[in-house]
Amino acid sequence: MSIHPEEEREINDGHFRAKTDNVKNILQILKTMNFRDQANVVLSPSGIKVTVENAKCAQANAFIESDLFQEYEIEEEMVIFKLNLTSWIECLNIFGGGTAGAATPSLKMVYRGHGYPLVLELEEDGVVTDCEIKTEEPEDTLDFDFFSTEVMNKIIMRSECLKEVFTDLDVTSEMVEILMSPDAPYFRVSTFGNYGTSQTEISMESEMVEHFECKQTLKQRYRLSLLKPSIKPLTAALKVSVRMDARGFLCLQFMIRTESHHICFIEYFCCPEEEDSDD
Amino acid sequence: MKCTIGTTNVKDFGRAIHALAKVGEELYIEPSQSGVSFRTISSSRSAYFSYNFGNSFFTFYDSGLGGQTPASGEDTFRCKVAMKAVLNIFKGIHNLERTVQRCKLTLKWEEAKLIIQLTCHYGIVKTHNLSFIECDALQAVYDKESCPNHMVSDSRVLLGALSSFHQQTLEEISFCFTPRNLILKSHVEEPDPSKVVHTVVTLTRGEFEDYNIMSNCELTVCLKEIRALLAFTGSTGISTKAYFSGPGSPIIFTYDSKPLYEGTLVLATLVQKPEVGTHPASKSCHEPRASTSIRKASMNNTLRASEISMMQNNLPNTTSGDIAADVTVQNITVALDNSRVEDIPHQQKDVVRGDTSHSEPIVPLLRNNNKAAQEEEEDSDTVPSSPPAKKSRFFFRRCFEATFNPDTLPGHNVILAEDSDEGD
Repeated sequence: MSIHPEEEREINDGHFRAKTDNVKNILQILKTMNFRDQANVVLSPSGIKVTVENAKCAQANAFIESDLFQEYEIEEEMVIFKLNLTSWIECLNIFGGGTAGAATPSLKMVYRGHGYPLVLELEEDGVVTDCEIKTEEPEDTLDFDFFSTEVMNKIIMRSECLKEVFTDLDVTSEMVEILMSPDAPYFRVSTFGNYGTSQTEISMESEMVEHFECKQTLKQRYRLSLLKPSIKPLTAALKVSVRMDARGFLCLQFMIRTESHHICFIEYFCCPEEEDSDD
Repeated sequence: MKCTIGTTNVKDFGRAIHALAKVGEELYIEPSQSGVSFRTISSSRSAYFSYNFGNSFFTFYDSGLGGQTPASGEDTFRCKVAMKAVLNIFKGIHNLERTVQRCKLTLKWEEAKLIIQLTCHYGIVKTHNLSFIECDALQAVYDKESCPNHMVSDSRVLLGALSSFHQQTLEEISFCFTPRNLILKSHVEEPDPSKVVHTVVTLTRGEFEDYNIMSNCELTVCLKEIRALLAFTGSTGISTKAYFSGPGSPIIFTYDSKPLYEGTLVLATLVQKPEVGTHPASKSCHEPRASTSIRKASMNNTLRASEISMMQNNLPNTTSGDIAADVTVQNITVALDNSRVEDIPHQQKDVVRGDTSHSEPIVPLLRNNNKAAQEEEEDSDTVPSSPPAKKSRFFFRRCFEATFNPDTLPGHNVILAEDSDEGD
């Protein structure tokens, strides 16, 4: 896809313009969110927020701060649109993955406003690629209403141990039960599969746990299929914060360090499964 | 029963589980005063694999038999669990040594639960509750003392030799023992030798730690199972001992790291000439079971399945003297692979047909096949748009050729089995 010559001049007049030396920073973040094709994108002076929703029960948000970029300009307070996340990732990945140390393609993104496509320009070693991704009207996204004051239990731990727990979850189990408590067993993940039940407990005294704050014993079940998409950002993250509020909603926050050593956050919200009422 | 495995032995235990998992689908557990035995048997009943872990393998061992009497009045409790469930727990084998500090196994008879608890690094404790079923003893009948032939080898030598066999589809391998050397050959049932890759590896007697062969013999066994065994022993560097007498008798592989553990793999062997026509391998087990095959039952074709049941009824027991009525099916499977209707050997006696030439078909067998083929033809008349399955086409080539006239076969109008009545 090439841009017509007369549009060249207009690229610099767009509502939004950002440039980074290493596209892999953004690519890494977006790849972990790609469990759905569509994503809502919010552009604001503080950065880019990408939201992906799953069955109206789970939501992932990625925050890419503006200081990740070498140049970041936006004319409006907030611009929102929807686009195809898979296509965006494919375009950003157009020069291929490459190993660390390989040449890093640079990225320029331009968005001219409502109805215009998101224009990408990638350059590596003198080879330039430009792409246009159509944008659509944004979708309403869920507001999980997760105020900090409502949060009952919070644990911050290194991601390796939670990753071990989540990747070993019994896939024959539909539900995953998470327990967070100020008393033993402190933190427990249970599955109920075809062959039997499995439980993994992480004690608050573990070296992996950096911060432990549980006010009340809370135990909730979540659908395994809804939690699975959180494994990808978990794998990329350094640390993860697990929070559960009084309603049983789960919020996982992943701290990811990009290739250029910037810190980005991804949030993952999940609704609890309703307990079956006794009829 | 309660036992705890310390960090050094957890890896070996995990490897044992992986090896057992390659052979069978159920894990039989039998605790005793001196240790615990984990056993399995392949679905085709052609391989029996057993690991005995002695008391010293565990940092803590309590067989639980001290005060209790098992319900059925036997000398020990026995149970079995799904192999997949246990394998899932010991999945990450490379990490086991690094991450797992302790593994505790508890058998709770009243609740019928096997509890496996792994205490890992960083204060993580994983507990798995698996249900088990009580069962009878699983014990293959074999006698290694009576085997005249005997060989001891460093497992890595055998593993290296086996690694030369690259074919993905290779299921069986032949061990040809002569007093001077061992020749490993790929064993493929294929009428046209030029269509497949044959591999031959020769190991001279000097490669072995002990080599004691009374007479030449050629044993054909299933490759997957022997690989499972060698994968375990090869990584631990133990020697593998083999005891065998001749084709048709089982070959017994044993290895041990006494007093920690010892393992035994008993494999059924095929007796055969290179071409079609086989005796069933002899292998006795206490557990009664349904029809067996030395091949996995994965070669599926509904027509074939119905043929097997038809032929099973037509065959007499062989003279090998063990519970062989159901074992005879395996030679049928072998024969079918030759995929020519005419080549199905005469099975009335233990006569082995050395050649693959066309022969007068046995009337009842062939006619049944053709009847099935006829039905296929009729089916294809009534449903002209659906083509017949490729395999049946291949087997019953002649049936689909224009000149074939079923009426020309002798006895075509003799009905052996009446149509059964429609349901009420």
